[in-house]
Amino acid sequence: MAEELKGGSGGTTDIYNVEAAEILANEALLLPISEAAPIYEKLLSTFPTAAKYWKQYVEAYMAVNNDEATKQIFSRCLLNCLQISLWRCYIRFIRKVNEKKGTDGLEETKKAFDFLLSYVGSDIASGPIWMEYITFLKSMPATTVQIESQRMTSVRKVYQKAIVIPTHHVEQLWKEYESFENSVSRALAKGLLSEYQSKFNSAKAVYRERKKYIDDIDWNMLAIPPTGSSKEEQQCMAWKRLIAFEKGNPQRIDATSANRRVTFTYEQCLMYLYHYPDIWYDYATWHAKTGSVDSAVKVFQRALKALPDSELLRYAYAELEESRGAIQSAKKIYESLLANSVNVTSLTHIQFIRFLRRTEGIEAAKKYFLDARKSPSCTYHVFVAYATMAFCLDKDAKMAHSVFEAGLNKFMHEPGYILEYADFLCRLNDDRNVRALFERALSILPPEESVEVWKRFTQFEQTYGDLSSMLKVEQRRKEALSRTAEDGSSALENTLYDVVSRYSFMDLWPCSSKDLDHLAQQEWLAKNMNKVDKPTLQNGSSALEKAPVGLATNNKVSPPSTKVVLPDTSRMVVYDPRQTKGPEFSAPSSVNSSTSTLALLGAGTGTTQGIDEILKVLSPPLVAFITQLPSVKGPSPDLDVVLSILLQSSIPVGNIGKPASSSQQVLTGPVPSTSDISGSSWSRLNQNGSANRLRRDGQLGKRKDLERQEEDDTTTVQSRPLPQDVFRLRQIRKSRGVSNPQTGSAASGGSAFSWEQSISTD
Amino acid sequence: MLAGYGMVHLPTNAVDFSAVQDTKGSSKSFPKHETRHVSEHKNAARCARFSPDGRFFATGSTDTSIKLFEVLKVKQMILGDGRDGPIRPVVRTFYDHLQPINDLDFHPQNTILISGAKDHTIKFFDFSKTVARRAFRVIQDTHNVRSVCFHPSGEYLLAGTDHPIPHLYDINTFKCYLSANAQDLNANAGINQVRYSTTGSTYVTASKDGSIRVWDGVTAQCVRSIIGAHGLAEATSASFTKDQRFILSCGKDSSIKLWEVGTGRLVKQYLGAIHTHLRCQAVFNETEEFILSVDEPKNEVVIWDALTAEITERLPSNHIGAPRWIEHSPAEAAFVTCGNDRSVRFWKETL
Repeated sequence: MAEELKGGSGGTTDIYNVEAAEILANEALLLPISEAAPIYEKLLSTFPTAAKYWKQYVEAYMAVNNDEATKQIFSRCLLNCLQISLWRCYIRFIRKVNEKKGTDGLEETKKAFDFLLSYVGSDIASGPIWMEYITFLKSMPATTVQIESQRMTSVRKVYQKAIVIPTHHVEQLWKEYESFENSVSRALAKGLLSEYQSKFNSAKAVYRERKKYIDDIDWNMLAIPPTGSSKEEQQCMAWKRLIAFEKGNPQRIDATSANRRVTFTYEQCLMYLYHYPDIWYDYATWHAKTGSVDSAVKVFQRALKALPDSELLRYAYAELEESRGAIQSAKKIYESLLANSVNVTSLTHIQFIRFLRRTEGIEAAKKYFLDARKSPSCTYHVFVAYATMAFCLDKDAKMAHSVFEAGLNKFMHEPGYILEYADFLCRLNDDRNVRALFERALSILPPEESVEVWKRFTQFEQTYGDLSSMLKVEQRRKEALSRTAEDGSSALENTLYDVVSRYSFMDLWPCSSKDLDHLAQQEWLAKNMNKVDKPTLQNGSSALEKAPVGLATNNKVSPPSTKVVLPDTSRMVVYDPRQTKGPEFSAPSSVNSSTSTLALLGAGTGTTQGIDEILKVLSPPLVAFITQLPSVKGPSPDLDVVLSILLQSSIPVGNIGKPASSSQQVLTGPVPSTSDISGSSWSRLNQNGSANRLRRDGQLGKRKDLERQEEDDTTTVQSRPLPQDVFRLRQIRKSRGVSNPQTGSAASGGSAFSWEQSISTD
Repeated sequence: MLAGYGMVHLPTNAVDFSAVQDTKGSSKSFPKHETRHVSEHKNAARCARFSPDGRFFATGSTDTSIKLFEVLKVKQMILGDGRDGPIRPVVRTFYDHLQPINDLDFHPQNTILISGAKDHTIKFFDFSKTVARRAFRVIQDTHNVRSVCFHPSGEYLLAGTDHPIPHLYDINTFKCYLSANAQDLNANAGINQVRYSTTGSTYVTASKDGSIRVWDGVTAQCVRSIIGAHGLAEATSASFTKDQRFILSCGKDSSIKLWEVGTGRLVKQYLGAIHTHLRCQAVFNETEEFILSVDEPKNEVVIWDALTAEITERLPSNHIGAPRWIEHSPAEAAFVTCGNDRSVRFWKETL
């Protein structure tokens, strides 16, 4: 497995594969150190801040008592990995090494403790180390009274340092300190303890806050370059919150200690967000702001080691160096940027020229420009930048002009360059040369690249020219651009729109925004008027079969279908069933639509002709029934009246002999087995009267019924046979209305009632 | 010149269905998923829909209620990461319909949820407000609204109803529009599902007569009818791939089919799951590498490799009775099933 991973990491696979790293590390655990060492080295070259791997590595050497190698490794990792368990490992090692060295050894150990606590003493988990240190100090042999009092003083000092740090063990430390002071001198204890009580209290309070921030952080994460996963974002935010918290100095301690804590937090943060340039930058600027520019420089140097490809950090670093007057080091940074010949861009050249101009003067900048323009990566931007500098900073118009002129030979085909040059000439008020330049450029540039140049040319004429030259250029522009497919032939004509563009000035317009909208819409419509017609014509001649991308209609109107396509409702039929008969009502295909037919009739809005048409297509029994219905005024007839009529009217149960309907009767649950006419008139009406007529075969009818069963989800009241008389119907309706309070009304009244509801909710 | 309508980034399809032909035996394996019961309606849960960003999903029920879930909270609930008591993933509940909910959709930009129901209405709910339980706008349709779908601009919506022609509503005026060439279509069966393509340039309908129709998004003309796409059995779902080149349809003939929009050609079939009763859905996963659907008699969620059309996974649904609906998140490896057992289950990739 290890080999496989090794092989893979050299190739295309991601070297920051966390899972692979974990597997590798676990394997290294089982190997003897001589074999594991190269694995660790490889892992740590990828994850130089992975404290857990360092710890594993160093522990492997400690296990075989290789003190020299252990020391070596500690010296490589400690200062970059401010992680408590790694440092505890270190103190264990130091204590072991110095165990048998007597007083010297003790002194060494004490120094190591001090060193350690100065680095990671403010970690939230540093409590045990503080305790260990105190125990260690207490165990130091005291031969004389003087030494003993010295020892006591140092123990007190350590206690006093420990109890102001918001750690997990701050309370325990405080209790120990109390008993320590009391054991030394009850008289003195009172004063000392009351002095430190408030400091401890604030540490305790801050600890609670700090813990919340710390808990959000995943301390097992490996430092990988940002991939944009939500977990990473979350971690990044958690770190930023913690840093902001520490920067706020919540404990109100003195500035030096507060700064030390912020530094510590940044250092820890960079162990995990090692590849985040923003953190490095924040850290460095924070240092610079708090006055220690040297530390800021060091941070930048480390940042560049971590992210050697970050151009941005290099500029930031150079800026810092330059702003503090260290010109030489700033220059070195720029040179390092340029030395990396692979990614030298025009921008790098431009920034370096500007830097030289600022720090070393005109001549140095000029010299470098002359070199840079020979470089293969030099684009027209360098010329523009240098000419602008010469013009604006050195006030050397002649120089600037000659630079532009020199560049023109090379960049005649770059519209961007032409525009910049024209701008420059305009600033010189050299309108003759501007015209000459435009004419030269436009004779060379292909029309699709000259859009912007034409635009600037017309603008120029609007400012410098007279009316006839203005109109002439505009006309020429149109002719030239109409050849490109995009604008279409319609652009040739003069529109009011052009007048708007000629007679507006800055943000002043010769018309209201509403007029403008209107014009834009008109123009768009006019443009599409021609286009939209085409596909409709093609539709007849199987255009769809020919084109592989079938829906050519839209693809033509909009450029490669990256835009949202809007419906054009002017090409559709307005559907308003309340006033007009929808085009489909000739075939009421289900119970629901037959009820809406009724609604249509009941509402009395349909014309008589409409009703006649409907009657024509309905089955004779239904027609007979409908003609019996009374005329009703207003949108909804009284339900009770309708019901009573329904029950009184005798409806011939037609078509019962048909095989289709009989099989259907078996299938549909709702029909009661007794052929009680009055009782089952609802379901009969629906199934035999209207719906059945449309079922051309039994197959279709069967499906519909199956579907109804399926749709009525559960065996609720809906699928039960409909009740027998009006009274019961109403009772059931009422009781449902009550027993179903959440629906607000008789929601499950079955399809027979939907007509009434659809009107009442209107 | 024209007002700058929101540009939609057209994602390139991860899978080119037309390119590869012989792919037997090279199916990808579907990542392991875990599932959890996340909530319960008072009656059958009929439909579910994710918001376009995948941060929310909503379910609609026979009990006429709609529940809105926040995916983040659902995940926290699954993790059991209840630092401050139990987590409630249902962030809103709406009660405004009179009859069962058929379909839901989220506004592409705003915090608006719409629902189509058997009570012939389409209702608009604003879920940015914490207290509103009622709709703030209602469209009264003439038919049972079986399917709703927002236009990607959010200015229009489509309703698929028992009426054979989809209803296009302008949501600002509530005016309803129909295709002008509908008469020539000879369509007379209700619509089970209507879905817009990514840019709104086309939409697709799945009908009760088993046909699939493609409509022009601009003119609303029917540009392609695939009659009998699922034989005589109902077509229950149809939706576009993200690149708008293919349509995935599902029918009660127990088949799932992939059609090329340009030619109307049947590109692939995904067989092996029986679905003959419910409004079964066939959906893509977020990368369009897999297709998910339901086997009703076996009560399983079935997953095919979209390219090879081989079944790669069969997962017991954990519902009592087959799930009525399956919906996949557009943003991540997560989906939702809901069913007659009233419960809503969330599925997510095991991390």
